[in-house]
Amino acid sequence: MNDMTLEKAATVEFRGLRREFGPTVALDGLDLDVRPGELVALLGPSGCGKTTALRMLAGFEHPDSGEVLVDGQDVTEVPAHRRDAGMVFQSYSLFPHLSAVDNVAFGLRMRKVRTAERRARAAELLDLVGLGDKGERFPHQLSGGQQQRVAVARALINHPKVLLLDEPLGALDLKLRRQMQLELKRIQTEVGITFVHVTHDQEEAMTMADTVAVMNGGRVEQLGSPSDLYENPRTTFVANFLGTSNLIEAEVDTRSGDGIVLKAGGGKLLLPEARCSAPTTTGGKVLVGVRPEKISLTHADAAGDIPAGRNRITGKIAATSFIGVSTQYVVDSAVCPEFEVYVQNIDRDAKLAPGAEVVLHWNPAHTFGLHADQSLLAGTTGSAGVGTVDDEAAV
Amino acid sequence: MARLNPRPNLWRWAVLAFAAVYFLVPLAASVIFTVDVPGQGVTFDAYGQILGADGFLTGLILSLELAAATIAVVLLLMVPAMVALRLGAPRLGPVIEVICSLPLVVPPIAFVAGISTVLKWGPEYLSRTPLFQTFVAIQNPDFPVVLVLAYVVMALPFVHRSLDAGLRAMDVRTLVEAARSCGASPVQALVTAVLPNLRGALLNASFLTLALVLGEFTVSHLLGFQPFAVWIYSVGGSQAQLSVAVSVLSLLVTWALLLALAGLGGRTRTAAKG
Ligand SMILES: Nc1ncnc2c1ncn2[C@@H]1O[C@H](COP(=O)(O)OP(=O)(O)O)[C@@H](O)[C@H]1O
Ligand SMILES: [Mg+2]
Repeated sequence: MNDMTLEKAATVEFRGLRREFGPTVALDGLDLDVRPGELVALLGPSGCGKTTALRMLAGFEHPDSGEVLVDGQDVTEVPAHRRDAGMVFQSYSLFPHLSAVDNVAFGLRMRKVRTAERRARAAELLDLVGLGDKGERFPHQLSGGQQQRVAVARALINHPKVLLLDEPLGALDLKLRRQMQLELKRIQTEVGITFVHVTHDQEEAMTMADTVAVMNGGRVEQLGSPSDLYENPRTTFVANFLGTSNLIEAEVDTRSGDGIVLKAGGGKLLLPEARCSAPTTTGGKVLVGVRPEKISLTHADAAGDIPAGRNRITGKIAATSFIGVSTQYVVDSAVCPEFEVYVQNIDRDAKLAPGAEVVLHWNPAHTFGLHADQSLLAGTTGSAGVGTVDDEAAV
Repeated sequence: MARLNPRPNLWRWAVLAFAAVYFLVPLAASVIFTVDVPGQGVTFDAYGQILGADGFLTGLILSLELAAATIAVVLLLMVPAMVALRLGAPRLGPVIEVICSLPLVVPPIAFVAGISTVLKWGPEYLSRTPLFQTFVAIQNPDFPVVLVLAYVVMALPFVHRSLDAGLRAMDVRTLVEAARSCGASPVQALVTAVLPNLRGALLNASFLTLALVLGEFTVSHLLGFQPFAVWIYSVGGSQAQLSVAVSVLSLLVTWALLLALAGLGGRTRTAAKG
């Protein structure tokens, strides 16, 4: 595959893409820059426009306004078959009448490459995806995961500038999906071209992507590396859609150094100014967030042992659930009715049972601040705009 | 289950036996009638006479030519249309289905009356215009194009149904898009990705059209042409034994052609796999 790593990777730019289907606004001014050789994940709930954006890059959909640039060139008007973009579909899309090797060789057949040569190159690519010995099988003789690997090989054969994947693992079971995520990442590293990967599974996006673009309502809500998005969400949607967040409504009180002191319920919380994406005028409202695994839980009787300088909240355990590596607690407190806390099962404290009075405390550096004029529930499953996997399959 | 099983089995055989009697007895009777001349024993004279009879070969060839032309026209018309419909306007599907089914509810006699009315439009003073000459040309008795046009319409319901079933069995949009992202133009995508998977449906449509054209009588007879079915009728009128022999023969010819078509489809399938 050495000839493939020499490919010059391409940039992809979406400029103000807009697309309406009747009353539905599928894309609402989408802007996105993808760096060459990067694996970028478009992540968002069902119906947020991920597929539409990808199909515009592939040339199957035309924007009402805006443009798509590949390697700096405007390809908006270029027909799909001249775009140099390989595509892997969510539903199984292999040609049923062709064997695996002929499926992979299909792109070369369109380029009128001689049979012997194209079969040899197809065999190389089947090796790359780990199916070197299954070339003569027909699609119905391959498992779902194998079919998707063949589809990846088929999409790569013409040395595309960019590979587009629309929920390629959506139809696979969880275990196979995990395995294929790593496999796809390995293939991407090996061929070195730009991958645009669409998914509604945040874990998949975090596992695979160099950069994640969180989409909501037809636009990119936030763009960044998985850890950056997780640690520094700038909207409640991102905070809730990527993992779980505890959000508290608070009021700006005073400043202390490079931190902001906030009033929440009866207590005070400290928030580093750099981690606040909202204006911090005194008296203004701010949403304070903290991830459940950053929080420690101490029984009220031992509250004196908590080191000074930590953010604290008191409450009462409402429920616990033991899930092996950790225990998840739901704590009712005055500032937030259902505070979630994940505690690793190292030394389990038997006193932390439902009904126990507890103190929640965490390092102030792990606190983030968000604009107060957004829904606390945006991006949680069950809130508007978030569909099921079945909806996804229907589109 | 154990108690229920024997009864359906019995029924199955009863139905089969009934169908066999219904179909096979008349057939056998016809065959016996044609080969058994009282006082002479078994003879195949009647069949010999047909093969030598005036108009047998021309009638059969004309019918086959008409069938080939009809199949070609109706498939060239319907395949791109149906694929485009599925890709571009799936909601129009039911409308097209109803339109394509109309020939089933219009009796052939009404259909042919309409056609002859249209063909009589050209008044004398138009005789030098291309319109009139076209009308004359499509009624050429050596190869009446007008029959092909009529048969295309009459075959629509069957062709639509076969193609619709074939297209339903696959994800046309994804296959076409997969082909296009591999560098296939829209036409290439149709030919290389969709058609090979539509083979069963195409074969089926061809079958039904062939059977339709070989057996069609009303339209061709009333318009004054003499393909196979009309020839059978004209021969049969004069000699009883000959007419029955002709019917038996036409059945055998139709079966042979359908088997040949099926064999052709089967062979290309294995060739494509090999
Ligand atoms: N061809 C179409 N016709 C009508 N509505 C469409 C079409 N394609 C997408 N939509 C609508 O546009 C919105 C975005 O769709 P899509 O891009 O498929 O979302 P996602 O892939 O993120 O689930 C959805 O509300 C969907 O119903
Ligand atoms: Mg989608």
